[in-house]
Amino acid sequence: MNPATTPASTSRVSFRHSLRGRLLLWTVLLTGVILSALVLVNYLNFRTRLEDEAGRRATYLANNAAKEIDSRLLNVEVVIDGLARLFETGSVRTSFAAWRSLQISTLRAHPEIQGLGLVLLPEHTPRDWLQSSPYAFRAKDGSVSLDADDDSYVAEDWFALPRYLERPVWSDPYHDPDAGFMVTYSIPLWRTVGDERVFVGVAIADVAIDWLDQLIAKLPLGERGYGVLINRNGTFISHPKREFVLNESIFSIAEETDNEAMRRVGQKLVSGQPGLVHWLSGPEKEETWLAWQALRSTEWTMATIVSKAELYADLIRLSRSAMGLGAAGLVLLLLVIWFIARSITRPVQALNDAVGSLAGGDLDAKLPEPVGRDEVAQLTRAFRGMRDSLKRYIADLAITTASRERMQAELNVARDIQMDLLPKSFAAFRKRSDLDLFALMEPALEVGGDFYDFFFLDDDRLLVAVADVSGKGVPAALFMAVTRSFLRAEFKADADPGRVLRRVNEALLESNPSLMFVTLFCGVLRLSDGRFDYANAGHNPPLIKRTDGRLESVAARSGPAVGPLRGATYATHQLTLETGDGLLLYTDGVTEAMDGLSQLYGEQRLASFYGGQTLPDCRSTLTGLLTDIRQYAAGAEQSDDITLLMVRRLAPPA
Amino acid sequence: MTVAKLAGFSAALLCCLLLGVVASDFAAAAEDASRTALKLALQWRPQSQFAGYYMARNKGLYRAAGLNVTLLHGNAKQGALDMLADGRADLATALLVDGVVNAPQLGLVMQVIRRSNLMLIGWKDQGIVDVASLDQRRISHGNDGAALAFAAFFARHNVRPLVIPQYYSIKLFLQGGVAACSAMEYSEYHLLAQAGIDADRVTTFLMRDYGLGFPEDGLYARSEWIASHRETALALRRATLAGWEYARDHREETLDVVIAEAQRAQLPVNRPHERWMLRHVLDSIFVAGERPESVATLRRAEFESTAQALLGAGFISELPSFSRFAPFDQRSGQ
Repeated sequence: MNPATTPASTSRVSFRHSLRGRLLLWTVLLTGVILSALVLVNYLNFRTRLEDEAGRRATYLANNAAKEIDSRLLNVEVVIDGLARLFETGSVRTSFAAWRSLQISTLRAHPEIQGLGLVLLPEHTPRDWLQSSPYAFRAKDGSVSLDADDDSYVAEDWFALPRYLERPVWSDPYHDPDAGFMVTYSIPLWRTVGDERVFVGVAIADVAIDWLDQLIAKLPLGERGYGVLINRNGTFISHPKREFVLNESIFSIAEETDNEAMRRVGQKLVSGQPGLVHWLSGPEKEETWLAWQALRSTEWTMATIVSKAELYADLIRLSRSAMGLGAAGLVLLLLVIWFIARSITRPVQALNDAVGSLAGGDLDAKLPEPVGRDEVAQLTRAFRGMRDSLKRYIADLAITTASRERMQAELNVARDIQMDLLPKSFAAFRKRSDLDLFALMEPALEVGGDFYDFFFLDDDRLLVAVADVSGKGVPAALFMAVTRSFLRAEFKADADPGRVLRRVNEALLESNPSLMFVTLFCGVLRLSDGRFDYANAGHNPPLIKRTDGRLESVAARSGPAVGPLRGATYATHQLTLETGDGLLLYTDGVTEAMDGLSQLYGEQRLASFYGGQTLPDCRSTLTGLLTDIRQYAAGAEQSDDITLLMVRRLAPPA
Repeated sequence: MTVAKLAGFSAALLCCLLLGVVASDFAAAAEDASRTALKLALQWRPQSQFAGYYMARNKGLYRAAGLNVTLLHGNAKQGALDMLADGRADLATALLVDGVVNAPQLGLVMQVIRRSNLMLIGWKDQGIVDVASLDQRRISHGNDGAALAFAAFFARHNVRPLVIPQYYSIKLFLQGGVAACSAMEYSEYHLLAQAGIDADRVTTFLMRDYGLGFPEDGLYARSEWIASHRETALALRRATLAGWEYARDHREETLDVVIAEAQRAQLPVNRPHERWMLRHVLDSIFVAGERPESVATLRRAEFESTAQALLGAGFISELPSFSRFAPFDQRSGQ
């Protein structure tokens, strides 16, 4: 086992490429992206919804505050309008005392009114009246006091405005040293003189509005939101920054901060129309909603500012906690996946290591114990099963191989014995100058079924034989050995080939239950005159190359193959082998030798090769022929034994 | 240095400081006593119109001139000239026309605002687009010195608006109660802008563009007081001018002082308005293109054209003497 051949299978995988690494990486990435996207989408959705909601709230609160302020001021309007109508119809004009008592009772009935009075032009004051401007007010102790306004009223806006605008007017707020933050409502009084409506003065009510700041401050506009009240000129009447009140207007601040947009918004605010705009508030340019609603009583505008940044801060806090929760979940998920991945990859890794050893040939390497019933456990079990099968197979293989080797060894011995049976010593023949003989055999399997034989019956007669036993291997070899022994024995008793074959056939029959047969050609050559007696039991016809170049086939048949047929007879034929003629005996292993395409070598090719030889000597002719057959086969497996025998009579030396 | 020594040293230092403070107070009181005490009544409530006086006082310019000036403010009910008349003030600021009307009794110490700021503003959406469109329309203006200029303006253009009195507020105009109203360029005209009214919504008639730009704020005293206090009057004139020059050169500091003054009087005030006023008042005192020596002086020609207009309108019965009216500016009129 070479450890260098298996490093890839047993080495650790880098974390990035490992199953666990990829699982973790992709889970974290994907979950992180999904989580972030969710939080983002949520944030944006909520932001839009909160923004819209805040805008609606700003509008709602501005409207509500305007309504509430209106409800208090309109109440005063109703009272004073009533008094004015009363005065104009003349019922109180005639009696100063009646007016005074009306003033007192009205003040008592309406605590929201701080003071009220009539301010008449002197020329329109009834003659019997003691004062042209009887005024009554609520003192600090709550009692009602009577007074007369001074006479510089003509210059005052609260007198001039209703006079020339010919409608009731609310003044801007002002600070009264005694009563605090006040506002005055004045309504013009008219008298009809002839066809003409003549202005005679105004009826006024002073109203304390100390509640205004508190009312606005209580609006739920968030920590950074606030409400402001402005008059029709943009001047602040209520503002969280007290120093702005009555000093600054939207337009003065716009001027000071060089903010044209603010001036434009200011103009919308004082237009009398309600509105809602996005607004960048303050020097920090904080994003806000600015909503406003005009009051019905005064011509003021109630405006509310709701910070968007404040909403965003809440939302960001929310998103951050969602993100934190998500991150914690992600970590948890990571841990769980880590453990699951480890429970998978650990046995897989252990299995991998073990299989690495297994692949390296160490079948005794310890495989991990399968834990649980999951796929990995199944895989582990499968590997165990495979390993066990492999071990069994290898054990069987070893046994089989051993028996094969033993059989091979025995076959080798058999072959050696068989080869030893064949005469191989040509040394005795080389001494004879009148004879040239050579034979060879190439068995197809280790033990072949062919044989050749030659020996001298006496000094002049030479026996040559070639046979081919049916079948191959050990049975054929044994049958061949028996046949050869019978043949030798019979020839020693009688030299007639035909009779020999008949006797051999009879002998073989006696112990041939599997009906094996042998084709056999044998002949006795008389060297002195070239007479050749022969018999052929179903064997390939030998070839004779005459010295004049002719090629003859020894085609005469004597009988069937020896072995299976009881009572078979064989005729002995004769021919003459002249000096120099070459007789070639062969088996069908020659003609049936096949090339790679299963084409037979054939008698034609054998004849043409043998016919083309100049017969220098038998040995080189046969080896040449064998070479030609091998070339023809071109490496294809040899299918049958190849057996050749060639003999020539030579002219004895003079 | 030991602790005891340190304490001793500290005590000594404290004594020195206390002594110094007490001494300087005494010295100041003594100095004030040695200075000429003057009460100066300003026409109107605290605003940048009077910045130079505040700065002359606050920066010690009056004291340096040997004067101990107390500033008083007039109001709607009580004018500065009233205070001058009843002796509550030694000096008072007033428009030139008001000064000339009271000529025999009053003399001019210095002509502060030399260029007229008086104007009429009319609503375009009420049809006031030119002088002729003022005819028969209800307008408002003050019944003070401004009335003269407007009377001459209307007579010259042959229009007869229906005039109602205007006091210190332009609310009636802002609410559309009158088609036009009088305004000072340095004050009411800007209040209009601060009420969100864009300049293109109104038509303006600056009296100085129509040759009726009478000089405005001057510093007045009774003629006999001037005769007997020439040096004091001159010192006051110089110190007041120095105060205005200081205001010109230190505008934001001056605005701080003006705003503090207004806040002390519990009056509405905002900085951009006071800045606008200061700029225009300064431009009317230090008039661009005029020679430096004409600052704070009244020219005879200006005096005479104003007096003639008053005479023509019947506000006065005879022309006052320029040399008696403006004793310090006799030469400048030549």
